[in-house]
Amino acid sequence: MAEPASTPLPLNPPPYRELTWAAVICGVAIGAVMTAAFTYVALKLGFTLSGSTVAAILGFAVLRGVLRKGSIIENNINQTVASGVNTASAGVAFTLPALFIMGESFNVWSVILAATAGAFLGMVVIIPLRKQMIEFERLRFPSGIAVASLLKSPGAGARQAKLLVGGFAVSGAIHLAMGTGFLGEELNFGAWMGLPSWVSLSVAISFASLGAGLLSGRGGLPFVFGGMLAWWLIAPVAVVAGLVPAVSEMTGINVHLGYDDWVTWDVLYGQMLRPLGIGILIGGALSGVVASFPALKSAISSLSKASKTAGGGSDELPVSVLSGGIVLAFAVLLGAAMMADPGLGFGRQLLIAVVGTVWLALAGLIVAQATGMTDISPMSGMSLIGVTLMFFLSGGNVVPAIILGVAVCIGIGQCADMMGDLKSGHLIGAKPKKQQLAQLMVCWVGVPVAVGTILLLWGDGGGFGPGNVELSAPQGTALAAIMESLQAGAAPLDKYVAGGAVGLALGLHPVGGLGVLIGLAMYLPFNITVTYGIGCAFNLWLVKTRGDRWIGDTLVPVAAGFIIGEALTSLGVVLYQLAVA
Amino acid sequence: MNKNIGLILLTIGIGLTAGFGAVLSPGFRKATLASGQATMAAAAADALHVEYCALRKESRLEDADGCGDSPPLVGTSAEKLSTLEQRREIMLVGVSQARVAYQIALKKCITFDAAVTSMGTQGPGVRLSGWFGAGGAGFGLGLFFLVSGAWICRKAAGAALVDEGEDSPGVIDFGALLGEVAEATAVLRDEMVALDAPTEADADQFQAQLEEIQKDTLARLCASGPRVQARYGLHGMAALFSPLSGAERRLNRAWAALVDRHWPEALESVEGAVSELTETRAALKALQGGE
Repeated sequence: MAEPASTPLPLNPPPYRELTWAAVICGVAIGAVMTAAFTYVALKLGFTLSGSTVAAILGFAVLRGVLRKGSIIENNINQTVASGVNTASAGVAFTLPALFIMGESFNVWSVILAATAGAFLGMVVIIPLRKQMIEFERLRFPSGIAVASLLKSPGAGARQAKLLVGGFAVSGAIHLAMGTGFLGEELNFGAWMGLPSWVSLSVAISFASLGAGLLSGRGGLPFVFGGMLAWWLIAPVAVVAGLVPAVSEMTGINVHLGYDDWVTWDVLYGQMLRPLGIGILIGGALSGVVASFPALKSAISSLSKASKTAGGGSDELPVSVLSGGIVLAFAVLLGAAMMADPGLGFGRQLLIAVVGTVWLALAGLIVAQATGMTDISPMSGMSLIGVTLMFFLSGGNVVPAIILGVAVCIGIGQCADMMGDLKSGHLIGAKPKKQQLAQLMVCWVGVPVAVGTILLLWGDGGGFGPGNVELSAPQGTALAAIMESLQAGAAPLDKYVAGGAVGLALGLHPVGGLGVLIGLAMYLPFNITVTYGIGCAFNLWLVKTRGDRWIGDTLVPVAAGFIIGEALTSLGVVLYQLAVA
Repeated sequence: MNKNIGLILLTIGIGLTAGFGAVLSPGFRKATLASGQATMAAAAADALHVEYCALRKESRLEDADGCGDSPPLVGTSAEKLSTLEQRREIMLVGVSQARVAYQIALKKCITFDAAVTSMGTQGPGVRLSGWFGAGGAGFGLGLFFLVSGAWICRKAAGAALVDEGEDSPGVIDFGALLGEVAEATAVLRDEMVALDAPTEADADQFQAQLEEIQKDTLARLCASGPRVQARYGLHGMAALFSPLSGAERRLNRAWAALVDRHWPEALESVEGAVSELTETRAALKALQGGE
C-alpha cells in the first residue's frame, strides 16, 4: 500500500542499496540455474535465450518482494550478474559439443581454463569502450532499453506501466500462437505470389525485431538498405546472370525437388552473402576503430584519470585493474593453449594466445556494436572466424582450435552482454564501476556450470549429437561439419577479403557503423531485416507526426514490452516443449 | 548537390563491390554445381523412399528397409543400396517397382557423390585467386566508386552541419540549451536543499520536475552529438559529452533514488549532476575560445 503524501522521508537512511551481497547471490543463483537450463536448450534446439529480462523480474520478486529492501539500481546489479553468468551457456554449448561429436580426446581442465580466460578477457577489453559506445556514439541497445524500462517500472507511472504490459501482452500472445503452431513464423508474400525463394518477399513475425526497429529509428535504416541490396539486387541478379549454377546445368536429376531452396540457402546465402557479410562486418568494425580513434583515446584517458582519483571516488573502473586483468587473463589463455596441445611448441602456443586475444577484442567490439545498433548479434559468425583462425594457427589441429574457440565465443558474448547491461545501468543511473566489478566477480561462474552440464549430458558417450533424437546439438554438429571441411582445406577467403575491403571503404562515410550495419544485413536472412525495417519506418513516421517526447513517453514502453514479451514467451514455450517432449 | 553525387556514387559502389564480391571463383562454382546435383539427387532419393514406404504401408507389408519402425537406412548412398540389395522380399508389382525406383535413385546418388569427391576441395588461396580473376576488375571499379562516394558524402555532411544557421529548423544552440539544463538542474538542487523535512509528496513533485528536464531539454541536448562533432571535432565532442553524459546518468540516478524514496542519494546525485554540467559549460567555453 502507498504511503500517505505527508509521510516524511528518512533523512539518514542506510546507504543506497547498489552492489550488495543479496544482489550478487541472487544474481549468481538465477544465473547458474539459467546457465544449466539454457545449455540444455542449446543442445536441444540450437539457440539460447537472453537472461536479462528473466533476471530483472525474478530480482524484483526476491529483492523487493521477499527481502523487502531492494532498490532499482540493486536489481540492475542482480540482472547484470545473472546475465553475466548465463553468457557461458551459449559460448560453451555452441562450441564444445563439436569435440565430443568428432570423437576427439581432450583435457577438460584446459577447456575450463580457456573459457574462464575468455570470460575475463571479454570483460576487460570491452569496459574501456563504455564511454565511446554509450556516451559518445549513444548506441541504442534496444534490449538494454527494454530492461531499463522494466527496472524503472515501479516509478514510471500507471500509463507507462500499462503500455509496457500492453506491448508485452500483444507480443507474448502472438509468440505463443507461433510456438504452439497456431501461427506460422513468417508472412511469405513471395511464396503466395508464386515467386522463387531467391526473390525474398517474406516478413518474420517477430515483435522483438519490430520493437528493436521501433527503438532504433533512423539509425537502423542502413541495415535495411543492406538487406535490400543483398536480397533484392545481388541474389536475383546472381541467379538470372548465371553467377550461380543454373537449372539448365543440372542434368540427370529432377531439379524441381528443391533447386530454389538449395540455390537460395546453400549457395546465395551460405556461399556468397553470409561470408561476404562477415567480411564487411570485420572491415567495418576495423575502420570504425580507426575513425573514432580520438574519442577512444579520450575515453581511455578518462579511465586513466579515474585511476588517479583518490579514495575511489570515481565511477569508472581504474585502468590499472583493466590492464592487469588483460595480462592475467592472457596468461591463463596461454596456459590453456599449452594444456590443450602440449605438442604444439611454445612459439605456436604463444601465437595462438596472442591472436586469440586480439581477435576476441575485435570480434567483441563488432558484436557489441551490432547489438548496440540493431539488437542482433553476429556471435556465431565471429566465433566461426575465431575457430578458423585458431585452426590454421595450430597447424590444422582441431582440439586447440575448438578449445580456444570456446574462449573466443564466451568472450564475445561477455562483450555484448556487458555493454547491454551498462546501457541499462546508464538509463537508471547505476555506477558503471559497481556493475563492472559485479560482473568481473562472477563472470567465471557460468563456465563450470555449462561445461559440467555438457559432461553430464554426454554421459558415457553419445548423449547428444547427430542421430540423437532427444539432443541433436545443432550448433555443435554444424561446427563439427565446418571443422571437417576446414580439415579438407575449405574456407571462403575470397569472400572475407572482398567483404573486408568493402567494410573498410564504408568507414569513410560520415554515418558511423555503416559497414557493420550493411555487413550484418548480408549476414542475416532477409525476413528478420524486413521486420526490423518496418519498425524503423514506423519510428520515423511517429517522430514526424507525434514528436520526440511522445516517442519517449509512449513508443519506448510499448517497444520494450514487445521485446520483453517475446523473450519471456520464448522461454515459456521452450519449457513447455521440453516438458511435453 | 555534392551530397547527391556522393550518394549516387556510393550506391553504385556498394552495388558493384557487393555484387562482384559475391561472384564465385570458376573452380568453386563447378564444385558447387556438383554438390548441388548430389544434394538434389539425395532429395529425389529420399522422396522415392517416402513413396516406397507409403506403398508398403498401404499394402500392409511388415516394416522393413528403413520404413516404419524398422531400423533406418544409414551411411552413404552406396551403403544404403548395399543394405537394400542384401534383402529379398516377394511383394506386389507396384511396391516392387517403387523399391527398384528407389534403388535406381541411390545409384544416381553414388554417381553424383563420386563427382563431388573427384572435384576435391577448393583451398582458400585457389578460391581467392579464382575470384579475383573472375570478378576482380568489376570489384575494383566498384571500390573506386564506393571510396569516392563515401569521401564526397563525408565532406558534404561536415560542411552542411557547420554551415547551418542557428535559426534553421531543427538546429539547436548547444550552448543555450546546456545553459537551460544547467539552470533548471541548479534550481532543482536549490529547492531540494531548502527542504528540511521532505515528504512523499515532495519526492513525487521532484520526480516530476526531474522528468521534465530529462525528457525535454536534456534529451535534445544529448541527441546533438553529430552536430557537436561536426563543429568541434571528435576530440571536442568527447570533451563535452564526457561530463554531459555523466550529468545525464546522475540525473537518472536521482530519479531512481526518488522512486526508492532515498532522499540523501537523490540530493547527492542532483548535486553531482550540477557539478558535471558546470564542467560541461567550462569545456564548451574552452572550445569556443579555441575556435
